[in-house]
Amino acid sequence: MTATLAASGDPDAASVREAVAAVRRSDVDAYARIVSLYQRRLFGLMLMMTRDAAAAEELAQDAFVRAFLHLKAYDSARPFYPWLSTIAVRLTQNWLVRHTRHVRREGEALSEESDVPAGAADALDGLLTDERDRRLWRAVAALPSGERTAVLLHYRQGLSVAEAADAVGVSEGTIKTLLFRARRRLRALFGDQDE
Amino acid sequence: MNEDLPTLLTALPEPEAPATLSAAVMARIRRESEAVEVPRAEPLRRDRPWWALTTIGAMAACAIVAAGWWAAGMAPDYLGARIGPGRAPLTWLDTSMTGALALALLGYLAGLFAPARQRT
Repeated sequence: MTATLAASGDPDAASVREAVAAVRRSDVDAYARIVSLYQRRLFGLMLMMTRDAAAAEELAQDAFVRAFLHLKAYDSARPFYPWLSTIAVRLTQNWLVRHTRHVRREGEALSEESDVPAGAADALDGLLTDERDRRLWRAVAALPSGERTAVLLHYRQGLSVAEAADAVGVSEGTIKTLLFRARRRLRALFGDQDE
Repeated sequence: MNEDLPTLLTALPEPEAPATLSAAVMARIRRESEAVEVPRAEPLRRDRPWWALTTIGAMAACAIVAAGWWAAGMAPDYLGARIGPGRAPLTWLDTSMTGALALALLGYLAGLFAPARQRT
């Protein structure tokens, strides 16, 4: 039912290249192969970024459709997932801007679980049986959206700093700063509770 | 914590994607593909003969008028009086050439308005 995330990199690069080539030859149904390869990973990213299952599903759909419509712009020599995740992250950023009230509640002190918005952690809470995993997820969920995105893209999705910067639309230095701040916040929480 | 963070985050369970996600994506893509194809359904080659007639008619009319002035050895007088006994003609064409000019202009007009006739 659930599985941990595999190491970074395309799970089947050759299969993706074949599917992309087929789609470019007007074989629309070949795109289903790409969707099936990446839907779980992409949906998980959207879910962790938005903390809203319905929004995550809609955004994942939008990202796949937009990737299909702009497939001519994809460079087949490069990994497919960073390109796909760039589209997805940009869509999600727009969604987060539209839901600013929720974003502004983030960034509060993480020392109290009550500071986490009531519905924020529910998206994954049901999957997390280990208390430490639950604490980690709630801590990540409570990060400011920029830091949370950087952490998810670099540490969980396995994108390099350059790929994460490209996905978010900022410089590599900004990503490094966001990662530093996120680690400091998380260390403050976990360092206290693990000692 | 720094060195454990990637491991801890990677170890978090990944949720299953909704069962309808793939089907919904493919349905939207097929709708998008069909919407893009419709504007290309009407071929443009049907209008090509009419555009050729328009072009030939216009070129023929210009050539006939120019040939008339060339044969007369005079430039057209567009600034002269248009009424009264001393007016100069705009074109120097005999009757047969006038007929050819009329045919050329008819061909030009027929080709120009052909697409409008086809759509009505």
